[in-house]
This record gives sequence, structure tokens and C-alpha cells, in this order.
Amino acid sequence: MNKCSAKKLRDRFFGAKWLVFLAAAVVLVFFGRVTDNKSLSQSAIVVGLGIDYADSQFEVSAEAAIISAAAGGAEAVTTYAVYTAQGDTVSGAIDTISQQMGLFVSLSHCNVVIVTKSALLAEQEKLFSPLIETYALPEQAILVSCEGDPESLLTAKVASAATVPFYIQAALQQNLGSSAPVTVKDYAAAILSPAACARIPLFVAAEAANQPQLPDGEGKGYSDVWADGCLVMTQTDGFVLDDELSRVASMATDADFSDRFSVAMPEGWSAEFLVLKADCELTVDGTVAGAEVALSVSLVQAESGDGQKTTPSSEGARAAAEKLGEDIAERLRMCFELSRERGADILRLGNALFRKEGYAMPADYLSRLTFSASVEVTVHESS
Amino acid sequence: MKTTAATVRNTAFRPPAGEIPAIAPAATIYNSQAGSIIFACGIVFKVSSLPGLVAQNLAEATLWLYMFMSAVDLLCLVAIYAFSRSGADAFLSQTRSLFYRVLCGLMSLYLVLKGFVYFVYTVIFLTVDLFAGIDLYIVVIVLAVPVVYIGAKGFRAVARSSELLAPVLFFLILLNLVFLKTDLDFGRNLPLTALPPSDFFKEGLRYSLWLGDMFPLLFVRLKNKRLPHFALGAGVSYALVLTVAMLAVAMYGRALPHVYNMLIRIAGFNQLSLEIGRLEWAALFVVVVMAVEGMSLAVAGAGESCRRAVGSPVPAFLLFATATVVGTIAIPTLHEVVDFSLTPPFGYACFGIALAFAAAFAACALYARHRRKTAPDTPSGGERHE
Repeated sequence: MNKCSAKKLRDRFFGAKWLVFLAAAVVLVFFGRVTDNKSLSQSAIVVGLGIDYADSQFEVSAEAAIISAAAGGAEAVTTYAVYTAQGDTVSGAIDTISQQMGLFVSLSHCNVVIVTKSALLAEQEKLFSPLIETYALPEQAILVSCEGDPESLLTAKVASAATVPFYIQAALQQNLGSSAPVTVKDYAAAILSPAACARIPLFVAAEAANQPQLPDGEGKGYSDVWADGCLVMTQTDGFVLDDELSRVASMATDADFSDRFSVAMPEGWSAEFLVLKADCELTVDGTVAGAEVALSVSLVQAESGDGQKTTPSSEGARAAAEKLGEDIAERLRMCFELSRERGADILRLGNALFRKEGYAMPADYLSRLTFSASVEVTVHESS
Repeated sequence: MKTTAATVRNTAFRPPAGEIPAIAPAATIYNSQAGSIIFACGIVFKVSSLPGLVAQNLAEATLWLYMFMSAVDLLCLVAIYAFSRSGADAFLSQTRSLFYRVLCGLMSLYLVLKGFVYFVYTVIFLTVDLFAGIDLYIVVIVLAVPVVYIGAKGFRAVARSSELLAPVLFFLILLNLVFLKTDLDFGRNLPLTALPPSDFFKEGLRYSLWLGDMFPLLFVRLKNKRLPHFALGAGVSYALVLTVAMLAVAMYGRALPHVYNMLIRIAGFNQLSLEIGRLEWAALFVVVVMAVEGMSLAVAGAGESCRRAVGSPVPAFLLFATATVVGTIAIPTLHEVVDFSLTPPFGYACFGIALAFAAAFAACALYARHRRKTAPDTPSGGERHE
């Protein structure tokens, strides 16, 4: 390459490339100065959210972590406060809460959302779109319901966790409820599916019958919070499913089901089994629907009146397992009958039917179906 | 004559001394770089916003439409490969064929339009999902500068940057998929008859803008390495696209229309999040980098096809820069562009145009091959590199 062309090349390089870089750097510096990123000290970390709907208004309750700065070398203290506001929309109510707190509400750490039946009927899955897009609510946030107002549940004091949302999250993730945890994404997918039916765990709070014993003495004002059945939602209706039916419905439709079942024998003794594995296949062939369940269980406890020890291989355990299978099959049939009565596909048979029929699936398929259930229970030694 | 790997020329086609060639020779890239381009530039718009858009009208049939469109896109890719290997570009450029110049002019306009719509999609993503409340012109300028610059630098810039970034991008996507933890039901992709066939094609073809992202590769010369990197790149890319489409429906079912960016959502459901925080940033890097690469490829392709049509790439660069910088700021609501790009007439037109281009360039490749048989001095397009 001769000197003339080398000089030309160098001039071109410096002329064009660095000019572009300089222009980009100037724009980026300008860009960096005009962005409005909110720092952590300006954001309210909401750990639990409650949404209710009444009198054409949304009532939103947000439980936020308040971190108090400490002086003199003391550790910072975290407390939790619940703020409640009303608004024509959920976003409007959250903006009001931001003004009350003097901080921007961030839902990026909100793992539990408590919604009532009326709030879900008002907007269904569209309720969560602004929360996800504007306030960074994770789609894997757990969705639960309550019978009263969410504010009462959020403000309940529990001894085993710092806040009720933490307790609910831990309880559901360890399958300590009658229903598997349901995320915001799962709810939207279920309510919009061909079956158009979703179930979310229902939590109840009441003053503790026995106050916990704390290092300072007996506690005061503590509540018991527990899962009691589930809320069944369709596009137009919602109702509460009791604990027994909720468990079998969850066993039939949810993956990784794990729970305990008790069975009362006619002879007067009872047994408790822990479900190790539940394989449930829901099939629909024309107008015939069926559930075939294969349960692997371990015997947790058996109390008989004659003082004989009941082992997993004993006749008593086998009889109890057979009775358990009959009970579960009966509950599955009850779920189906309730589905037809309320027009809510609790067992989501519509999804199985749609996978066979496609667009030819009739809208009134529930009234055309007949249902049968068979449950086989196998008792294993290990737990 | 000193020969380098990047500047191999066919001596039979060297113009006489003192004469300036009518059209500059096509950029020569390795087939491994082409494979990287297919991955880094060709899939991001198919796996980010498209699943949610398709699901608005096709619901459970989303995966089946993806399979159909991928098959059509692969046909286009075969035509692209055949053309770039045939030497038809050099031949038709040298002969200044009017048909070829018109064809390239239309291709230039098509690529500018495609690049502009993709640019709008990217701006909406950056301003809605990431930097809500920021002034639009800032995002437009910050995005347009690297896109136009890399595109104007040409195919070698796109090829080399793709070759460097493709493994990183692939690794990040793979990491997100491997550590995905969420409720999945692959049965949601069934049945095949979720829609009547007439509705399937009537609604499905409106998404044809996403076909033919690799048309810019028509204007490169490929140097083959030992392994079939071009086919490997295409195979990995389309496999990933179909995997993401299948996962999208399995995760969301009929709630998929609410998802603005599927790649970000996959990163959000990462089981490593509990340890190292929310991992959307990993997918954000992938989406933004791939979007810039994809749009740069469109700009480079528009420039090269414009050069073959009118003798200079500048009109295409100016048109793209004007459309993106001025157009996006002047249009009151950018979602109008999105809505227009999803209208059935626009989609059907894009489907016809993509197939027409593929057929036209394949015909040119056959013509060049025929001429090579009858006139052995005609140059070939690809050379093997050992």
C-alpha cells in the first residue's frame, strides 16, 4: 500500500468512525442525564398485595417493608406496614398508596397477591396486566383468595413468619394447603383455556385459639392463618370448594401433588396416608369422560381399637387403602356433578376434549359428558 | 498476485486495466460467518414479540403456524444459498441486466421497509418494557446510530460481529432454557385442528413480514469451510425458534397474547433467580444485541441491492435513516405501524413478495448455472476454503 492511499485510509478512518463515536458518546451522556431511574431509597418494596372490588371501586392493600435506619452502630430494623387505598382502577389505587407512603410502589418483590372473587369477576386476567407491565409484578407471584377483605388477612399477625405473605408463600411451596400454588401466569392460562375454569387457594385468618408462648410471655393479638379449600372461578361466576373436594381436584389437575389423606373405616378406626406420587389421567372420548388415578402412598398413622400395630403390609392397611381409593373416586364424581351444576369445569375436562375435537368441541360439553373414576392405591413402605 | 482469504477474486472477471468496474464485487464471507448471521440476525424478532402477536388470532395453533412459516423460510434460505453460490450476482451485475437491476431495486425497498418495521418494534419494546417515560427521540437516536453505522460498514462488519457474538448469545439463551422452572403443559399445543384450515391460513399469513430475514445474504459470496456451517446455523436457529414457540404455548396457553416479549419471559422464570436475582437482564442483552444485528443486516442488504440497482448504496442508507429517525418521531403513535404490519392485506402481500423474490433469485441462479455451462469463463460465486 503506498503512502498516498494509506493517508487517505487513515483520514477516512478518523474522519468517519471517530465522528460517529463522538456523536454517540455525546448522545449517551445526554441520555444518561435525562433518564429517570428510581433509586432503591425512593421505592417502596411491597411484599404482599391485596385487591378487592366493591361499589364500583377497587380497594388495594399493599404490605410494604419499611427499613428504619439506625444510629450509633445499631442494626437497621425492618417493619411491615399495610397501606390501603381506593380507586376506579387498580393502578389509580396504587398511585394513591404511593402518595400516602411518599415512595414509588415497586411490586418486583411481591410474591403473594390476595384477590377476592369480586375483583376477579370485575376484570379477570386483565386485572394483572398493568401490575406486570407498570409495577414489575413477577408473573410467578402466587395468587390466593380470602373470604373477607384482603386488608384483614394482610394485617393478621402470625408467630411463625414476619408477615402473612411470607407465611402463605412458605406454606404453599411446601404443599401445606389443600390446593397447589397458583401463579398469576397459571391463573391467566387456566381461565382462558378451553375449560375456562381456574382454582386458587383460599386462606382464612382468625384469632388464635391458643396464643403462642413467646420469650416475653404469652403473645397477644396473634392469628391463625390456614388454607381452607379453594376459590373456583369461571368467566362469569365464582364459588368456594371445600377442603375435601379441593384436594382431589388438585390431585387430578396439578403436577407434583403431595398431600395427606385420612380415611375412616366402618370398624371405627382410621388411617392417614401420605401421597408419594399421584398419576392422574383425565380422558374424554366422545361423551365419555373418565379419570384413572394411580396413587402411591405411605402409611403415616393407623389407630385401631384392638391395639394391634398396623403395618403397611397388613390387611388393615390394604383395606384402608382400598377404602381411600373408593373415597377419592366418589369425591371425583362429586366434583364432576358440582361442575355440571355450577357450569364450572373443575376437573378441566374441556382441555382434554379440545385436544381431541379441536374447534368442533361443543360449548355445552359438560352437560353431554358422563363421568367415571377409578382409583388404585398402592401402599409403599418408605415415606 | 497476492491472494488473501478475505479478498479472493476471480481473475477471469477482472476488468481491463484503467477501467473502473461497474459494480463492486460482492463481499466474501465464510460459511461459518453466514451461519452465525442466520442465528444472530435472523431469529430475535421471531422469538420475542411474534409469539404473543400470533397467539392473538391463532391461540393453540401458534406452534403449527411457526412450523409452516419456518418451512417457507427455509425454502427462501435454500434459494438464497443457491443464488449466492451460483455467481449469478457477479454475472448479472457485470452485464447490467435490467431485470436484475429492477429486482434489486425492489429488494432494496423491501429491506428498508422490513428494517423500519423491526426498528419500530424495537423502539416500542425499549420505551414500553424498559424505559417507560423516556423521550422517544433519545431511544431512536441511540438505536439508529449503531444500526446505520454497522449496516453502512457492510457485510463484513455484520459477519464479524455476528461471529463474535453468536456463541455468547446462544449460550445465554441455552442457559435460560436449561434453568427454566415454571408450570408447563405441552398438551396446550394440541390439537392440530384447533382452527379450521381456512381460518388457519387466513389468519396465519398476516404474519408474513417475518419471512425472508436472510434475503441480504443474496449479495455475499460464500467461502465454504469443511463443515456445513450454513446448514448448521440454519438448523440451530430454526430449532430454537420452534422450541421457543412450543414453550410459549406450553407456558401460557391462551394467555400468550398478554406476553410482549417471550424471550424475556423465559428468562424471568429462571430457577437461579432465587440465588442471583431476577435474570431478565440476561435476555435483555440478547434481545437488544440481536435486534441491532438484525436491523444492521437489513440495512447492509438494502445498501447492496440499491448499489446493484442504481450504482450507489447511499439512497438506501438515507432512506432508512430518514424513515427511522424522522418517521418514528413524526408518527404520533408507533403502535399504528405495528397494527398496519399485522393487517391481512399487508401480510398476504409480504407472503407473495417473499416467495416471488425467492423464485426470482432462484431462477437467476439457474440461469447463471446454465450460462456457466455454455460459457466457461463465467465466474462462480463460492470457493472452498481448506
